Amino acid sequence: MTGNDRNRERVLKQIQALAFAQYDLILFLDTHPNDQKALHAYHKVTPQLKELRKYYRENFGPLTPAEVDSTTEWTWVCGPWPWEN
Amino acid sequence: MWQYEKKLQFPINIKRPNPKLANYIISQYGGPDGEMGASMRYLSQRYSFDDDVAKALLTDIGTEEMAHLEMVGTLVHQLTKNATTSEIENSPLALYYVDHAKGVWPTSAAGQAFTSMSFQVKGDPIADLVEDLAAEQKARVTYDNILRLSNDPDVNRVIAYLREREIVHFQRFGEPK
Repeated sequence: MTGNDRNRERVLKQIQALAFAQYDLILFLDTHPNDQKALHAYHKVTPQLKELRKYYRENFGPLTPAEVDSTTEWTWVCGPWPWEN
Repeated sequence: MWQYEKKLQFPINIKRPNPKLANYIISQYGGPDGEMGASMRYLSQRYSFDDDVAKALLTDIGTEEMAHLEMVGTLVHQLTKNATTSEIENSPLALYYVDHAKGVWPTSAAGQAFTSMSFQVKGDPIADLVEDLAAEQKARVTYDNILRLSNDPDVNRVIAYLREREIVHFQRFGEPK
């Protein structure tokens, strides 16, 4: 495993942690739509996740097919895919 | 609609092949209390609900269940990928291997194909939500059973995470008014 692979895994893990926090808040807010504390936490975690996803996309490639940056290559098809190790 | 995200909800990196454990875990892919049934149950039930909270909850938990289906499929894949033919032959996965090799196919641990008869869409919010509460408990018990049968810490970390999500979903499904 190269240094770049390790760095990619490290950033991906941070994204997974933030996205998990966000998703758990989403479910909580679904049944507590007026909970100000949870709404505040959602608005704290969401821009952090957005920023980290941008860093990932620019350095390691798109997380969705709608965010391919390259104008010369269709990078969505590039592995590794999530089930591979 | 849905858009795929090229990431798992929780990291999985299995180092040791274990076709026997794969055969147990596949029940949460296509078995009676597995993630395929869970996602289809919630995403199908939501159409007949009037309550916006319940519609959001069924949509979002149903979506998370698809991410869990992918995690269970990943476990089965990584537990079998580097298994030798001899390891498979000496495991309960041998009969599955005849038809599916190392592909991931929705079935229960005991070999029953996935069926929509393992869940209901009753068109009645009380009946459906009460089924959903029970479904989360049944999935939690299945993960408990798998934890008792597994001694691989890389697997158990993932199973414990999935088990915990069943508890959170159970809590949420009790909250719509």
